Amino acid sequence: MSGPLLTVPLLEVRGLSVDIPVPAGTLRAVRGVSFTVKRGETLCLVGESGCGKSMTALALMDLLPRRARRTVGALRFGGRDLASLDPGAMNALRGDRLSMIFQEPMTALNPAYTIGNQLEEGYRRHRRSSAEGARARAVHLLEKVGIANAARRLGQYPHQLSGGLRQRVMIAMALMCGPDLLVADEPTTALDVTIQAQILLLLRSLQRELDMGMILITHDLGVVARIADRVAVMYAGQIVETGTAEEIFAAPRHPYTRGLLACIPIPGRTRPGAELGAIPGMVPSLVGTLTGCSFRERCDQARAVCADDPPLRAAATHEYRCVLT
Amino acid sequence: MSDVLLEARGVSRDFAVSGGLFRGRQTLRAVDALDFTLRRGEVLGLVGESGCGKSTLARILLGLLAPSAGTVTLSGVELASLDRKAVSRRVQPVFQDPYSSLNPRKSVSAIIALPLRVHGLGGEREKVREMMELVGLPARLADSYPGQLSGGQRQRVAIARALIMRPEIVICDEPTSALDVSVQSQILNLLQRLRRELGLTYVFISHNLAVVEHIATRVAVMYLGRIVEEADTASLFGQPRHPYTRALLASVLTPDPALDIPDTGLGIAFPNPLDPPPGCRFHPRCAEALPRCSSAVPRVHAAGQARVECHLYEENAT
Repeated sequence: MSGPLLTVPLLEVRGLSVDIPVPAGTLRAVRGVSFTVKRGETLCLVGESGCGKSMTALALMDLLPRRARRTVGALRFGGRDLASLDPGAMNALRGDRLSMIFQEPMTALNPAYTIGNQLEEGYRRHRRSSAEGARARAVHLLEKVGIANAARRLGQYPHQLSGGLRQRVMIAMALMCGPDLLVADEPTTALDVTIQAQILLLLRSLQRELDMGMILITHDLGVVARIADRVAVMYAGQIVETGTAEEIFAAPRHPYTRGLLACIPIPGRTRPGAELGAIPGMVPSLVGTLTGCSFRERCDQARAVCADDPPLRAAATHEYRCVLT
Repeated sequence: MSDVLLEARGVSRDFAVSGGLFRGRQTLRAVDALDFTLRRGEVLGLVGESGCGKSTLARILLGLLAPSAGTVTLSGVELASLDRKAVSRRVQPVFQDPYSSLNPRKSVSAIIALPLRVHGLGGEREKVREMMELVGLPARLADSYPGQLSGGQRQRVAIARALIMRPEIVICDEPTSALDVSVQSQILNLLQRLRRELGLTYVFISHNLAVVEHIATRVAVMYLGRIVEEADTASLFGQPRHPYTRALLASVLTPDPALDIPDTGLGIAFPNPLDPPPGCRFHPRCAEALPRCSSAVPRVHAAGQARVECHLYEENAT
C-alpha cells in the first residue's frame, strides 16, 4: 500500500448525532461526537449507562433502531464515505471490512443454528467461498480464539457452550473476514476476571496480527487502562474528554473523568475501608434542547459560566470540554 | 476470640442435573464438605469464578437451601431446627439485581414494610420512614414503584428491606455488580456506614476483587465447591498462598496504563463440575502442580484464622 494510507485514519467520525423520537419530544442520545481510529490502534469509549457509547457504535455500523435518526458531518472509513452508502453497499461492508462484537453472546447468537452455520454464513456470502473453504476458516479461527475440538464445536448449538466459549465464538465470528475495524461492545463484561484477561490478550494479539483498528466500549476503567491507546470519555451523549491512556489516568482534566476515577477502589492507592468518591445526583434528561455543560448540576466546581456551552480545549493529544480545569 | 455467629461444618449440597436426552440424571456437588465460620462484626469476602459454589453457600447460610450433608449453626443453634422466620429475623440477603429482586407492582414503602407484615409487627409507617432516611432514600419516593427508580435507588430499597428487621447478619450477593461505577461507590459507602452504625456483620460475595479488598476484613477463596484459602484481607492480598488465589489476583486489572494485560496462565479449561478432577481439583490448571496433586486430596493447613488447602504446604513437599 502507498504512503497516504498510513497517515489517513482508518475511520473518521465528525459531528455524529443520534436522535430518537420519544413521547415527550426528541431524545438526543448522541450529540456531535467526533473521533478517529487508525490502523492498529485501540480507542476505548468509556462511560456509564445511557451515556451514548453503544448508540455511537450502532450508528457507525448503521444498525440503529428503526426510529432513531442519524446525522453526521463526516463518516469516512477506509477512504469511503459511509454516510452516502446505500443499504446494499453497507451490508457488503458490514461483517466483512467492518465487524462488531456484541455484549450479550447469549442474545447475539441465534439459538436455532449451529455455531458452524453462524460462523460460515457471512464468510460464504462476503467471500463467495465454498462450504469447505468456509468450514476450514471457521475451524482455524475457533482454534485461534483458543477453543479445543474446534471441528466438533461447529456442530454444536449456542446453548451447549459456556458463557466464555460463546464470547469466544462471537469474537471468531467477527474476525471471519479479517476486518479492518472491529467494534467490541463490552466484550468481557459478562465474564469472570480470569477469562476476561485471556480474552483481552487474545483480542490484542489478533489486532496486531491483522493490523486492525479497534473501538472497545466499556465501563470498566481497569480494562481501559490496560488496553487503550486512546480513550474517549462520554457523558450525556457527548465526548467530554479524549486523550491517551496515560493522559486520562495520570492527568484527567474533566471533573467527570476525575469523579469516575475517584469512585473506584484502587488496590495500593485507596485506603481499605475508606470512604470512596461519589458523583452526587443523576444524569440529566436528554430530551429536548440541551445547553451548557451537561455535567454542571453534579459538578462541585460549577460556576455561572458553565450554563454556556463549554468550549473544546486542547493540549497536544488531550482534549476536554470544560472551562474550569 | 470474637464470638462466632454463623458456622458451617462439613456442609455439602448436591443438585441433580439432567445430563442430556440419553444420559439420565447426574449429581452436581456445588458445595463440598465445606467448613465456614463467620464472626461478629467482620466482613467476610467470598470470591471465586462463576460456578464455584459461592451463591449456593449464600443460600445455605440464609436457610433458603438445606445442605445435603453437614450442619449450619446460628449462634450455636442448628439452622435446621429453627423456623424460617426466626432465621430471617437475624440473617437477611441483598441480591445482585435490584431490577428483579423487587416486586414491580408494590410501592417502595410496601416493599420495605413487607418483612414487618410477615412477622406481624406494627409501627410500620414510622419504621419505614426511619429506614428510608437511614439508607438515603428521599421520603417523597415512598409511594413510587420500582420501575420509577434508578438502579442505585432500587438497591437502597433492597437494603432498607433487608435491614428493617434489624438483622445481625447481611449476606450481600454481588450487591453492586449491576450498578454503574459512580452508583457502586455510593452503595459501598452506604454499606460501610450501616455496618458501623448498626453493628452489622456481612458476608460479601463479589467477583470484583478490588471491591472485596476494599470492604472485606477477611477473605475466603472458593474453587469448585471448596474454600481453598482463607485469611485476613491484608495477608490474602499481600501474601496469597494458594496458586489459584495468586492467579485470581494476577487477573485483576487495576487502572494503571503502565501495566500490561496479565497472562494468568490459568488456561481456558475450566473443569466440568459434574466430573471434578481427582486429587486437588485445581491441579489441571495449576502451574506449580506436583505429581501427587493429581492423585491425593490436599489437606488443610491452618495457622490461626488463616488456612490453605494445597500440597505445596505439606512439610515434605518437594
